[in-house]
Amino acid sequence: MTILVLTKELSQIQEFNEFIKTLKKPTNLSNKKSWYSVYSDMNGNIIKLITEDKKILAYAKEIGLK
Amino acid sequence: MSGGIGGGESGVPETLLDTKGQVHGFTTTNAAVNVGANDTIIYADSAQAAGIGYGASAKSTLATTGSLLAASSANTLSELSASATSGHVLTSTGAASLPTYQAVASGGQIELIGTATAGVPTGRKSNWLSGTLTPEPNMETTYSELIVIANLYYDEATGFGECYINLNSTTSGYGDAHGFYYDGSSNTNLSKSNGTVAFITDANLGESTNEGIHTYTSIALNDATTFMYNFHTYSTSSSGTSMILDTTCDLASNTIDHVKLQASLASWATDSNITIYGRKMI
Repeated sequence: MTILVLTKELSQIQEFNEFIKTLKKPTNLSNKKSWYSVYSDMNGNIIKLITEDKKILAYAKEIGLK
Repeated sequence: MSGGIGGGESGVPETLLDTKGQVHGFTTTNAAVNVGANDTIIYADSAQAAGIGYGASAKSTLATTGSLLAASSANTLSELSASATSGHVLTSTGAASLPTYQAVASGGQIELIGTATAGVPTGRKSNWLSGTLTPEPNMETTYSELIVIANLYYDEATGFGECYINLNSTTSGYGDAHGFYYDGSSNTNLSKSNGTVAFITDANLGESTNEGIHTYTSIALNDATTFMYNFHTYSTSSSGTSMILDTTCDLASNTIDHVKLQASLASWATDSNITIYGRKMI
């Protein structure tokens, strides 16, 4: 018997969340601002990302955010 | 004429009633029925020789201001005295016993805990209700929910920015905020990360001068072992944008003594106000 399993690609926001898990959250954020704010549409496509974190910024450029 | 009523030798003798208050009754012959105590009234009573007798009336039973008339047993009048404590309500104690006055059950009631209005907070990042809340809400034993209602206005061209809540001056243990907002044309998923406060709005909720927002934040103890709290906030702005954000926090305490509400960019304007309620545990 052959078993078929549905595989679904992760959306951009899901991939982003997986990426974030690999980072260490800053323990002392200046001015209580967000480490990051990420916005996606209902299809999971990232439409806006706000952060001052260099690693997150580099990731954003990789996925085509300007 | 001699004789009593009706006259003649077969009538009622004039001497039958010879005491104040007596009434004319009949047993097997004409008889005088003596008057009862003050405020009692005549009842039909087959156990009495004359078939009538005096018994307690409502007037004779109710001797105290505020008393109610009740039946202590079948066909027995009783005085139910008013409660000595104002605000108590009459409560049933079962089918075969007199009700009693008792305190109103407080479970589920919403109780005002604290409030602050405009004029007090000035300047950027104003702290509201940073003093000790009275009564100090115990979220494990007393309150099932803490409700923070804020109506916020700002008048700076810088915009509103983010808005967040800080509890007990705790600056750690807050989880990421997740939710979405709707700006009148599309829904947008939103994720905000921070470890020092709980976000209740994002900057997208209010970005225009003279805009106002209304937020309703529900805070509940989710895990009494780890003191993990859940935050759920509904917000709407006068520009028509609505937002929902969920956050968590490990407060390391089952009581909340401080609530601070802050905006990251603008000052609170006149008429801004915040009210904190506690929903009593049942």
